[in-house]
Formats: sequence, C-alpha cells, structure tokens
Amino acid sequence: MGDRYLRGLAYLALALLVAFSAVEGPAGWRDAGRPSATARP
Amino acid sequence: VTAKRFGGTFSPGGQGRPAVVKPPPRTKWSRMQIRPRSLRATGLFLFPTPLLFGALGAIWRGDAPGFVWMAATYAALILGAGLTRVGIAAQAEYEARAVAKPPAFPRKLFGAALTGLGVGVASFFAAFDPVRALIFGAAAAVLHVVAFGPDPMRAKGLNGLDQDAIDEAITRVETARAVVADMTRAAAAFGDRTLEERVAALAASAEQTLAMIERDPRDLRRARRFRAVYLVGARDATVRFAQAWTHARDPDARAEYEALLTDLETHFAAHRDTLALDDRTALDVEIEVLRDRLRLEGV
Repeated sequence: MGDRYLRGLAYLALALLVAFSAVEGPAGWRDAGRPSATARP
Repeated sequence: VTAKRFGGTFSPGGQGRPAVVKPPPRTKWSRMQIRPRSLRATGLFLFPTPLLFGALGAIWRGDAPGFVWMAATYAALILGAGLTRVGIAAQAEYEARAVAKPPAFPRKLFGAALTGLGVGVASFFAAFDPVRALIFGAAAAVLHVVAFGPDPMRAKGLNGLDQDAIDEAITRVETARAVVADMTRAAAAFGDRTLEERVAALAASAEQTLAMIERDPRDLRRARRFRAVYLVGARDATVRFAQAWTHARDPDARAEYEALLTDLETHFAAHRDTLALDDRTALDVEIEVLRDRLRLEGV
C-alpha cells in the first residue's frame, strides 16, 4: 500500500515540476529581454 | 424451544444445488479484457501545455530562438508522455501473458529520460542556470521512474528453461496466432456470411486452445503439433477454397469445405477438451485421425 502512495506522490511532484517549468521557462526567457517584435520602439 | 438446523434447498449440500457448478461457457469474448487507459499518462500530455502557448507567443513576438526551444521542449515532453503511455500498454500486455518476452525497447525509461530532458531545458531558460536545470531535470526523470516504474526487463514463464527455449515457445504460439489470422483474412474473400462466421468461430476456438497452451506451456510439442497439423491445414484449405470459390462458385466444393469445417470444429473442441484433461494418448489418436482426413482432402 505504501508503494501506491509513494507512486502517487511522485506523480504529483512530477506533474507540478513539469507544469511549473513549462510556465517558468518561457517567462524567464521573456524577462531576459529576448527579442520582441511587437515591443520594438 | 427446538433448534432448527440451518439449511435450505439451495444451501450447500441442499437438494436444489447441482453437485458441480459448471463454469460459464467460453465464448470468443472470454479472452478479451478491459484495458484501462492510464489517466496518469494522459495527464503527462497536458502539463507541458504552457510551453505550447509560449511557443505560439514566441511566434507572435517574432522570437525565432524562443520558438525553437519551446517547441522542441514541448515535443520532447509530449514524446516522453507518448512513450510512457505505450510503455504502460506494453507492460499490461506482458503481464496478461503467461509466457512473455520483455518489450524490446524500454519505452517507459526512455519516456522518463525525455521528460527529464524537457524539464531540464525549460528550467534552464527560466534562470539561465545550468546547475538548476540539471537538478530539476534529474529530479523529473527520477520522479517519473518512481511514479510509473521501470519496464519489465526479463522474460517470464517457463522457469528453468534457457532463453532459447523460451524464445521458441513464444515464437510458436505467435506463429500459430499468425496462421489463424491468415485463415480469417482468407475467409473474408468468400463473400459468404455463413461461411465467414463459421471460420470466425473456428478461429475463436483455435484462439482458446492457444490460450490454454500459453497458460500451461510446459509441453511445447503440443503447440507445435496443433499448429503444424490443425491450424496450417485449416488455413491452407481456407485459402484454396477462397481461390476456388471466387473463380467458380462450385456448390460441391462448398459442401466439401463445409464438411471439413465441421470436422475441424469437432476436432478443435476435442483437442481443447483433451488438453483440459491432459490426456496425451487420446490427443495423439485425434491428431492421426485428422492428419489422415486432411491427406484425403488433398490439403
């Protein structure tokens, strides 16, 4: 039974890790001032 | 107060209960199983969605490098999710069989590697920090392995036999299945519903026998003889009849073929029952009889 909980927790952590890195990556890339066609002066 | 002994007509040992409960009849659906789709694996397809929007946003901003890494990372994560899903299906297949080789390609482990790679790349671009990327990527890969488990790596069944014998056993049952599939395909050319259904019933019956052989594969000679004598004969007869029947609809040929089908049905059923009884001597006699019969039919 403990094994099931461990698997569930690992899955939850994996889901959060994937989702957050998928949000954070693009955000960090934009914040680093990467080229932006629309924001050009 | 007098005590009354418990028990009625349908109690154990009662009058209304048959001595032996018969198992439900086997049908062609007996081997079918509900194969649950893994919701967890499906979830893996959804979590990287922000990257997809990020990639679309990069196109909108005219940010080509951003688009490339986001699209590539999204693709890696989706490919990883897909590998995980087929890996789970392959493992279910492996677990459903009594004798099985491990999947040739460790899909779940490669899924874990791709997931780790995707998470690593995405975290790298969040802060441009390779250490952080490495840690998160490794964590994702490890969590994936813990959550979904590794792939089955060893052949199972037939303990004590060497690898070659296991391979041979599996190959025999698989070849026999292919012969049955050939027969069913040939029957599709008849254009005759009645005959097609009879062949389908015969195929289902053969499938049951194969399942029995697979469940108890110690005596592999059975599998070989069942295939070599019954199945190949049935297939060849079906293929030849299909050719003859499409060229000239000869009622005599049809009657003969139907007689052969009846024979095969009887013998398949007998073979199955014999297998169930593990009565080898009777089986040999049956095989001899059918072999003669097939020889007479010119198959």
